[in-house]
Amino acid sequence: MIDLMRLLTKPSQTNEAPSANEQWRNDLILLAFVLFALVLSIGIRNRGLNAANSVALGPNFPRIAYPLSWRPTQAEGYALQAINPASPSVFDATLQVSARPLSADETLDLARATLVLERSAALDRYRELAVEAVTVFDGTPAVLSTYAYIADPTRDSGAMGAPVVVQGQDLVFLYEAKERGAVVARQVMVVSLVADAAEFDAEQRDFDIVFHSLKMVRGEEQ
Amino acid sequence: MQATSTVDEHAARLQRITRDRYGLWRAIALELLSLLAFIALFNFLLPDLGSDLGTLGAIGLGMVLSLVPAALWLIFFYQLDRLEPEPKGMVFNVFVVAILLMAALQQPILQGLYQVSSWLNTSSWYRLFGGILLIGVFEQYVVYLTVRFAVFDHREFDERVDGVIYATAAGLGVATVVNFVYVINRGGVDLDVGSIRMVINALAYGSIAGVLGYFIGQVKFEKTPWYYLPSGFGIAALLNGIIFYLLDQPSRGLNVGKPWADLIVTAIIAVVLLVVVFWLISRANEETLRTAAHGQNFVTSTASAYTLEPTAAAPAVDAADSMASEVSAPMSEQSEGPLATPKEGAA
Repeated sequence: MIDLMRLLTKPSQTNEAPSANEQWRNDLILLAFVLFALVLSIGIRNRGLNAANSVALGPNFPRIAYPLSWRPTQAEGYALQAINPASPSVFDATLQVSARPLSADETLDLARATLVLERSAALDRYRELAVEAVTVFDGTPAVLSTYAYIADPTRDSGAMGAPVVVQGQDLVFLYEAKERGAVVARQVMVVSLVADAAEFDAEQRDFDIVFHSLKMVRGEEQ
Repeated sequence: MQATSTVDEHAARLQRITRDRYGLWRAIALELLSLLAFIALFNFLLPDLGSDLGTLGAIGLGMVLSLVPAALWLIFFYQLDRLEPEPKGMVFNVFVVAILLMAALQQPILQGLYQVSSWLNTSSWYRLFGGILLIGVFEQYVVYLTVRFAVFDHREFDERVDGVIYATAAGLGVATVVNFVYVINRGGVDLDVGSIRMVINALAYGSIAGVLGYFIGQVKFEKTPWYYLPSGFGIAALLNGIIFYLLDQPSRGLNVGKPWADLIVTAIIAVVLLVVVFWLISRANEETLRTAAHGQNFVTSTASAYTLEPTAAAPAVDAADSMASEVSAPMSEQSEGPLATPKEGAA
């Protein structure tokens, strides 16, 4: 302790002033120290950006992850809904997961077509922009459709903000819940990610966290 | 004669760098009282000030008031040490350079490269380690760069305690930018809570920078091991990260919760840090004078240039006595040039 105090208060045994070279040595060593810390911080940043909450949606549902910074909210008709409170737009980026039992003779394409009709009816100026065949969970066929529509997020609160062009992606796939190897339920899963179209590209990193948790592999764009 | 002149110059140098600043204690006390008055003004006397302003007006008012805590500190710096106050321009220049440097680097590095707003607050561990390794290191390095390149080699940096003073001014510049960013990002602030948070930032950044300033002052006047400055810098960065983590707020912004409790905690931490720093300076000055009294001012290389006769060594080791001699010192001593170091090869 005494030595530490002596080092703190009188690191040199003489009163000789340091030379200019010694000052530059101090500068360079400190710069190296700072750069080392900043490089370590890049690793922390990467872990932070990819940090996710993994949730089980239910006994007959798969697990899904969403960004750690997103906040789960209650929503009727959805197995999971989470929003990004840090969205720069008045329209918060949103994750919605819905599921319904698969009808007899219903296929993936038929399920997606049904969804498109529902969206067209419910969303103002709905337009499908692209459709892509993908796979989830190591080979299960799925369809990823990109679309846009007009939303008025401030209307319910009584404010008079401008409407927002929203861009979203629906990942539609058929999920078979199994117990001891036997299929106990077949569900049509729809995972929707929407955001202000101006921020859509910036939100893609967070969207990828959701898609990665479903092991989505992109196919060719149709 | 020449050897005697060298001895006199060295003795004067030691007198200068070991000068204590008793006026600083009074300045700190007055500074804390003035900050409390600033907070009381917006919490009790004018709680609704700015509530009718639009966004631009609220931002403008918030930015103007962001300057107040730092300005109060700088004003009291001018009252420091009637014997040899730091030049007003120097302290203010350091403050401004820190503002400019922080404003120029913060956005591209912290938000652009590291995107801290996207992950720093997602968990306590990220806030702690990110607060130390990224935020703390970055902000304290801004303080160091400011002092190192704005005033370190200037003749006015001629006392050990100057490191603390200039680093504190730089820390206040960093705090001012942090307050600016908060006000702009929130479109103005509620001045009752916002005023408390502005003072918290000024106290925290100022006192933490003072710790770094102690080590800067040491490396200016002492031959130090290679790990001395990085260790001191690491302590300052650690304090930066831990203090703001304990305050349960990111050092990038201001939370609304428990502001008064945070203010009390921060004020206590600031006082403790400053007490420790100035105690260390006092001890360092004593050690320096004791070393001089033992004839160990230089490493002996040539007998005539560097070896000092014990009777010609620096005056009495008692710091109080050195202060007494300082009080009666003629004003002409203050115009002496940079530290006198023996010329190489002098016979």
